Amino acid sequence: MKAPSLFIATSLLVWGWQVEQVGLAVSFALLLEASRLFKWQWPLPDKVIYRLVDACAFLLMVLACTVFFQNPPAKALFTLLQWTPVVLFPVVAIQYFGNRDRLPLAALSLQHRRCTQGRQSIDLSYPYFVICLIAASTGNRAAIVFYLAVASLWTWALWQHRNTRHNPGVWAALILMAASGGYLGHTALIQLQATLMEEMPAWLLAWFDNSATDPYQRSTAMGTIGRLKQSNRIVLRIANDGHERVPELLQRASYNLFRHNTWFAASDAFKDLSTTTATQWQLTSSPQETDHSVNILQTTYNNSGLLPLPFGAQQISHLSAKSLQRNALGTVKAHTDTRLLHYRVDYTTTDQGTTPTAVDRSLPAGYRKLLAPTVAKLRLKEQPPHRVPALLKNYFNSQFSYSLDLATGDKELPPVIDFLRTTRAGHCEYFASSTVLLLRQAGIPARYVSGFSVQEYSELEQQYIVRQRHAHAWAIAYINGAWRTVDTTPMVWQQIDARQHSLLTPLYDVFSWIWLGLEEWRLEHEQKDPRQDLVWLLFPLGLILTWRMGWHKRFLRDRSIHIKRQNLPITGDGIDSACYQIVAWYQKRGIQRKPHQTLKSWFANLTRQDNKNNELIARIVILHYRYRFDPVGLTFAERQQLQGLVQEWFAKHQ
Amino acid sequence: MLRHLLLANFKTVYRFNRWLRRRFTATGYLVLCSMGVSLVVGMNTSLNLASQIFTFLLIILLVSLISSWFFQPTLQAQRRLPPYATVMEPFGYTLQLSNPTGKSYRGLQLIEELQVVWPSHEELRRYQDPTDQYRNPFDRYVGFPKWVSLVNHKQGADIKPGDIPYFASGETVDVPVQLIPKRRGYLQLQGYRLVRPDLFGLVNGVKQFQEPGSLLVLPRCFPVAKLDLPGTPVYQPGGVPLVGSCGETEEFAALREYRQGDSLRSIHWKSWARSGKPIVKEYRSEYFTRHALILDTFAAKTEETVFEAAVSIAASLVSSVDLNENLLDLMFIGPEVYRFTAGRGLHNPTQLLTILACVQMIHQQPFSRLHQAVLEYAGQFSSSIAVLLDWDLPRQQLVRELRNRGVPTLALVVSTGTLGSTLAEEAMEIPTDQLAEKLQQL
Repeated sequence: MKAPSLFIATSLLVWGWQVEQVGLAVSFALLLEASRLFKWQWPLPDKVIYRLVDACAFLLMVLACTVFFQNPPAKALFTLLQWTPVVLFPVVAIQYFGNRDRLPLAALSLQHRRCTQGRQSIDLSYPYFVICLIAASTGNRAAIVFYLAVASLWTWALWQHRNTRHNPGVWAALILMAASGGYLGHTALIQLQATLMEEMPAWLLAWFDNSATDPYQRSTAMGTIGRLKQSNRIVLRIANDGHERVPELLQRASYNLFRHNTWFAASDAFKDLSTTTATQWQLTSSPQETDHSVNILQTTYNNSGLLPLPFGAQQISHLSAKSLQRNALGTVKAHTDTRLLHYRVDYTTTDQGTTPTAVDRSLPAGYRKLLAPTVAKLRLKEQPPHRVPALLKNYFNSQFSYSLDLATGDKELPPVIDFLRTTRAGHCEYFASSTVLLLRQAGIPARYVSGFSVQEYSELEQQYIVRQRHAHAWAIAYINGAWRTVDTTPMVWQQIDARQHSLLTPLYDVFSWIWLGLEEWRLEHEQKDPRQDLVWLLFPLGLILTWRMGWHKRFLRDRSIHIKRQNLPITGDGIDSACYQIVAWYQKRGIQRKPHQTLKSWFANLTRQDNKNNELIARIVILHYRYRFDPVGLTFAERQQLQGLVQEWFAKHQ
Repeated sequence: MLRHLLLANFKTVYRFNRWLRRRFTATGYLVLCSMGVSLVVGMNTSLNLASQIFTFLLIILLVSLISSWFFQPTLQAQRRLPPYATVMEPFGYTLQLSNPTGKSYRGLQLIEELQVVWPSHEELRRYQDPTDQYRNPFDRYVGFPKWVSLVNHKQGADIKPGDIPYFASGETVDVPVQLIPKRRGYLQLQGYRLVRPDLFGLVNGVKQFQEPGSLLVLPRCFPVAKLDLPGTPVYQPGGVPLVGSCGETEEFAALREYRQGDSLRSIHWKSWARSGKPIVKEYRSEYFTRHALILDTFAAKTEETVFEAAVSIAASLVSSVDLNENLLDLMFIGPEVYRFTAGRGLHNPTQLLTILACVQMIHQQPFSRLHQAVLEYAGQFSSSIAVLLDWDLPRQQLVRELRNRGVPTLALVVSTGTLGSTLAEEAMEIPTDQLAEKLQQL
């Protein structure tokens, strides 16, 4: 498949027009077409072609690194594509100016380079045409004209390789029909994409349960059956100042309304938080005195998310965010530019917080009657409010067990009541929900809180890490004018939960740590001029190129020569070969070697009739060639042998 | 685990790849690849115009695919296949095609179809692909290229397609087909395909025809220097049935009384009539020069190339021994002990070569089986040639035992050139890459 005249030049012009590089495209096109005008061809050995292709590959890598550092990924890809025809131009040029129509496939494939048998070759003109066309498409200009250009160029290419048994008229009619169909198809494709873009969010929302990060509602696993399984993915990293203790619980969202096994946040909408400086955010309008602080590193996946905060958080600092919002229940939502959120939280152990509302005392219809026996049994209403949390904790610890197995006892009862009366085993959602409901039944305002438990210290990272499976739920109760944490889940839950630890977790942790390091490095350098860092990137790439260009072989070869020749005098690449004495002998007698003749063929012509001399001269020539051209050269003994053979030859001729 | 999962899917990938190769022309491949790239780049139609390239090529390819379905020729074929071929020696044969329809065809191509035999895991494990060393670590780990190489090896030949520029209605043409056998054994031809590209030259219209056929590929032979096998004629108890009458033939020795088990054909009716009791004719057994060619098939640690070289050596020796005056016993172990005798008109060398074409390596059994089998018949041999795959103790013992029993033995040890000086004077090493040279020096 050889491209016709002017075909690649036209493709280059289309590319130049689309990406606004007309000057470059015209010069490339002229250069390629000029190769057809000149008779001479550049004899290129395989090795030169390999090195040129390697150099182009290196340039492409440098270009890729540069554009990916300077641009967002999608833009970077298109920028890279735009410049690909320029970077790969030398490869096509050597095919046009070289003395062969096709390039060896080994130039593009290391496997073929290593394999010396069955050399295959490839014509790069059509692949280059495709590259030009794809690159041109990224210019995104004049859609209809570009389509006409695409259709015309492909028609030109297909015409060259059509099946000649068919009538050209039929062929042309079909291609015209296909081109029209293609354009209609493209229009339909655009409409399809528009529809998808419109409908997709709704489908995705229906498909995925997003309640884990929804500040307005939280579905629970209560009432379902099976076994809870959570991932070991690290979601938070907690560092403390000096010897200060880290908070045991980090609150992500709190909810106050319980309906149909789902907790809802019945409060005002999120409101923007005030900021004193660009990175400091005040969480409450009347901040309390803070006595603790903690540094949190959070990974988000869509540049926004709920911030896990310690109970009694008053102020967030060192957080670069576009905006921070908070609802009346204390849930804080952040909108940022990065996936990594690094912030410091100042907090106090007692939170005055917002005063409770009627919702914080409400119970679902019918629950009051169902909860009454338990409250009566524990005499909660008769206790002073500050003693109720301890009583409940004692009750759940002594008479309930923690379990990740989701089971139901009496299907007629709501799952929380079933948990309190029948199963008496469950995970933290059961304990937290039951506690909130019992507290409310006892007349104490309470809320359901979801967040994380901080329990694992990483020796690798020298800080606390929080995994996805450390997600936890508990209650907060408004007692004596302040909100307090009431976590009634038996402490054994941490050990049971730790059994979900996989054998691959350490490996994952290492990768996660490396990824974090790279991400932090990237963020740190994002503000700086990326070209400064490219210098460091060029260094390993340069080393790879040097290696690929064959210096490693040369180096090894030179070493072997050095080892073998260390006992021999330096002679200068076999210039002193004894074989030249025979050449001189013939020349003295007026027999000259023609410029095109190799020494071997010259000797063969001279000794054609003489079989014995023919064998002798053949042995001499083999040794001489090795002495002259083999990089390892001859050993001392072999040089002696060459000398001996030459003397033998002279003995026969004199 | 992952590898086994991949192995299970190799057939599917291979079939898909074969379908692509059959269906798409070189231009078709270019269009297909361009379509794939433009699909990826132009996924979001609002970012660039690559989707225009995609839709145009998609429609073109669809038109090509649909038009290729209309190619449904009805032809009749008869293959004229020779009975034998030799490994790596190209040969041609013809396939006679008749066009009984009222339709003429242009630009047809005929492609012979070899039967595909899927390799087992064990075969893949044992298979040593010479090009595997050049592959990247990923390909070597996954093993798909090696698997494809084994499938091609098992298919056994490279077949060049035959071109039919014009095939008129009612005409019969002989389509020449070129074939290069890659391995010995039976080549199973499944049928043939008639291929014609569509009007855009992108997709091939393919019509498959079933026409089973087979031919036997004989092992590769090399010229051997004239072999002067030592040894004198040896007494052959009972003679050798069916040998020709040239040279020493069975001769009448005496008459004796009938014993139970004697053939009725041996009864001498005249003497019976004279003596009144059954008398039979007794013949003297013959003396022949009988050579043994012992082929070692015990390839526990041996590479396939070494075994193939050994079979080639055995085939070369079979072709070079004079079988007009001598007998040659080919002995080897397969599922059982095999001993085939040729010479003196009994069988010809080609028959031994056909046997050698089907010899297989055995991996599990001990070498002692061959040792016992050879020594059982050692008394009948004038001399022997042992083609061995190794020079370990059991093999050395076999050669020494034969020599101790007065059977001059030429031991040829095939190797990849690593045995070196361990052979001493007792055997001759034949490196796999120097078969021709070494066989000339025997």
